[in-house]
Amino acid sequence: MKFFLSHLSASILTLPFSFSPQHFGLTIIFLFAVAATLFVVTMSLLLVFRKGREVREKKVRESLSKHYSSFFANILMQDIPPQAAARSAGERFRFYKSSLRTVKKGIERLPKRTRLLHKSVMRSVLIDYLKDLKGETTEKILYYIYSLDILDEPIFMMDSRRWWIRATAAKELGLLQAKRAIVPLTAALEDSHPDVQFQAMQSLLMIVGVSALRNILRLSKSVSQGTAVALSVIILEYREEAVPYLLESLTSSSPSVVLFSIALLGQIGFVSAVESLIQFCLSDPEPILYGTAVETLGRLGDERAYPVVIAAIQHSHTSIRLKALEALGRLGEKKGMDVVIERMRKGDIAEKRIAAHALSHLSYDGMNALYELLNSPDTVTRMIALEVTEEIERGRGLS
Amino acid sequence: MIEILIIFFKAYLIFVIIYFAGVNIVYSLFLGVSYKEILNHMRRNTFADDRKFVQSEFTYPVSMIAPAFNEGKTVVESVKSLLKLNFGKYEVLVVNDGSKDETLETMVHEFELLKTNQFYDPVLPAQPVRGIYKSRKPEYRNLTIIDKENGGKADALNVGINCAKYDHICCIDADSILEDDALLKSMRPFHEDKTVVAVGGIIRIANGCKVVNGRVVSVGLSHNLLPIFQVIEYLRAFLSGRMFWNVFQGPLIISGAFGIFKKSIIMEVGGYRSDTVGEDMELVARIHRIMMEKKRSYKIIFVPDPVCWTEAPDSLSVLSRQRNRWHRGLLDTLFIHKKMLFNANYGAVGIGAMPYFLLVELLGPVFEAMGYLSLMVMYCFGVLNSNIAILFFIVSLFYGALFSVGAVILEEISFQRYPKPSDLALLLSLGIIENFGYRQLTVMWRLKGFFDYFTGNKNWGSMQRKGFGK
Amino acid sequence: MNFENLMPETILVAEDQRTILNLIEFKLKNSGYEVIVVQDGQTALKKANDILPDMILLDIMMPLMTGFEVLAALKKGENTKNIPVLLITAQTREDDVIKGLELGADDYILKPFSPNELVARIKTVLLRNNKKKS
Repeated sequence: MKFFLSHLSASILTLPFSFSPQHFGLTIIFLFAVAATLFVVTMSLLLVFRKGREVREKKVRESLSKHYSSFFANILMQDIPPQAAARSAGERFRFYKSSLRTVKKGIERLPKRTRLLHKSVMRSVLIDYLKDLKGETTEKILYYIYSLDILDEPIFMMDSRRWWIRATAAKELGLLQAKRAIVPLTAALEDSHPDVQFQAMQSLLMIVGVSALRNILRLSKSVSQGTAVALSVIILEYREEAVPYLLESLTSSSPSVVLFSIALLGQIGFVSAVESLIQFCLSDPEPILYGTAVETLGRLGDERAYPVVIAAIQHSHTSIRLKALEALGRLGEKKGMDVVIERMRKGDIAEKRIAAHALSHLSYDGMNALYELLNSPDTVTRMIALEVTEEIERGRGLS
Repeated sequence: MIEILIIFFKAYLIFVIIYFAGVNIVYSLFLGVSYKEILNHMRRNTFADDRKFVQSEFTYPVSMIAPAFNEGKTVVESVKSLLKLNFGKYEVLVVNDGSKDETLETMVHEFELLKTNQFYDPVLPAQPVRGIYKSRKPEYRNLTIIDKENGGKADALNVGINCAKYDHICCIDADSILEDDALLKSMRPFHEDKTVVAVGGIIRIANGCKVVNGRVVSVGLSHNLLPIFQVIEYLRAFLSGRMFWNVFQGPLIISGAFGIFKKSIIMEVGGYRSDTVGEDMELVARIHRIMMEKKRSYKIIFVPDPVCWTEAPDSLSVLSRQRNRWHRGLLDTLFIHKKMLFNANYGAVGIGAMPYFLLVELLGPVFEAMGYLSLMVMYCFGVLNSNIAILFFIVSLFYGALFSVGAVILEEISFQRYPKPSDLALLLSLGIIENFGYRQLTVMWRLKGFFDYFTGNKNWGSMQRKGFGK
Repeated sequence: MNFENLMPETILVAEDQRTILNLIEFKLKNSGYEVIVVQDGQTALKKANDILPDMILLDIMMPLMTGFEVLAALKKGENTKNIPVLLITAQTREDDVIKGLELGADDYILKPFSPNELVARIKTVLLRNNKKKS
């Protein structure tokens, strides 16, 4: 065994020199192999080293976090002396300032890097406390944030070349209710990375409220479907307050913004949007926008939409017809029934299906018309009618 | 005469050493790029809000298609778990591919199914449909069972696609064990970029994991060695292999165990082909081809999140048949689309992915086997240069071990799915041992695949079902 | 003269989120109460039986034993069933409040909370309870 190992190592060590000139290439390969191995070993060691350093940093952060957590909880929960409370905000702020004196002195003495770490920990603690508390203490926390200068770093980070740093900063600034950051956040609405853009949107809504929508919709050059998904959930919480801003954006030059607003108006469901949407349809927009507008009019359920919807059922674009048929079904009365029956006869399979479903919603006359189509001379029409009538009966059986 | 032979083998050995050195450079590139891509993806995950994705009406709905053939024992459990995914609007279509056992009956009974008059439009041609069933119970309203005459997996998928309501189709295997947020994670790319036409995710090995109600509850390694070797292979193939191609148009293959496609694209390219053994890879290759030919802007994305767990073969016979079939599928796809090979008109697919699959994946075992043969011949004639032999083993086996270890480390720093340090240690050590025995076996099986392909053997073989949680 | 009434009242606070725990602890201390803190349900039950506090603040989502389980156990124990309990619960889970009140809790406070409101409720509950005792 020992002999084999020594022979092996001897061979490996003399390998580069044992090749004849024609095997020069092999020597290169061998040296390459050695270099690569050294590289991998170094990288692994670096990785392990880095992980160790991360773990140590984490421990330091945790102990700092415990310290500041207690400290801030203590001063936050101290009652203002009655004399100050009775007087002005200025008195209150003087009191808050005095509670911070020790910690301010403490961090001034620290070297820059440590000071940044302390401020970062304070930031996390205060963000948590902002989330946990409401009422009179919120003013205190916002004062601490201002007084301790901890907004500087995230605002600075908004200019970073790395998107994840910008996104983290945008997110934190929202949680910190940083009014000072409104300008850089607004600039971030035009950021090229979707995550940064969204965090800026979310933070502006947190800081400014629903009126931030004006800038959000105006300045965003485009809204990806992913952003639409997340943003819609937030905006829906504002319900009718968001409607005026969404209507404003119908004139935007960005089609994705317009599409987003139209669709969202349908989800919010306030009929104040109906007139504007009707006007929008009459301006003959692009097919996708037209279709979505018709869809939304259906969801809003206002009878003023009938002329537009019925006209759209006869539009040359299939996608618009499909949306219009669905919308008519939602509007629900027997107006426009004949056009639907016409589409049921003439349309392709997808159109027949939607037309059939629409008919079923048009009260008794609609259902009767659908039943009559069970005897249609056209096979496909007949079978679709059968499919849909049966589905409806099954649906009734379920509920 | 003998001298000519010796010179030939000697030259071949030098060639194969250079070949492996080249392959290793390519693998290093893959590993490096994958690492960067995975890091970026993990960062994006920290900003992703899953709850909003599930709640929003803007999220694209999905039609999930699961072909089933003789899955009687496990089908009900699988379907129930499919209906409980963490996702908003989606439907599940189970296509019973003319099972000879009680698959259909079990489902009819358990889900209280009624045969419906749903109109079936055979846009993609397939075997005839015998019936479309829906449930009486409201909790199964998103479930549709389609019964058809047997035609194979590709055929069954086509039928499912014909019946699908929504614009995005998720094709899975009936025995795929999905992660709760499989749809969540894999639908995201479609929302970020309108040019994405297909998405694939990571398939993990379920052997040794605890499966409860169709979900992997705790991750572990099998007691059997064979599945553990496959874990390492899968990590290597998925984590370091597939991620790389995201930088270009995307990978050449999306696993049949889990893949999401835009319905319009599948329709446009004509659906799955039934005359090939590697129908999952062939479809993706065809998508690349047609998109390139039509000069359309498109992307296929691979997400590094684990989405699906599958039961790996734990016996040599079943495993060998599987590898044999995979190799034949690869060969078939490359052959069918040989026009793309080294063709710059097909962009990165033509001059990157296709040549890679040809030279490294397809011909790799051939080159390696010839290498072993050369060594043996040289040794027999007593002219084996021990230095060349050592070099050969360094570039093939030693580096193979290095890349396996690299893949395991990549998994550890990204997803950390294997919590026990003992499991990690086992994976690392087996990553090395893999190259001394297991690897050579797969070389043999794949060579046989070559042989079988050219002698016209095109069957599927069957895989025994052991049921979940065993 | 009743010396018992001069001693500060003891409040046991069970909450697993450290931030909230800190806030409540300091607020109550600053308001003159003696505070014992625990971070999980099991320890909460044990401490309750050991020290028999004047009041218990109970978070619902806790490891090892949930607030509901602790509440049920407290109401069963001879010594502990009369200790007033205030539940701490997240704003989005109003059904928890109803369930808690049915299980015997005296009042509740929602997260995010107002510290003055918390103290006011505690005072009210303690006052009610003292009236009951005498």
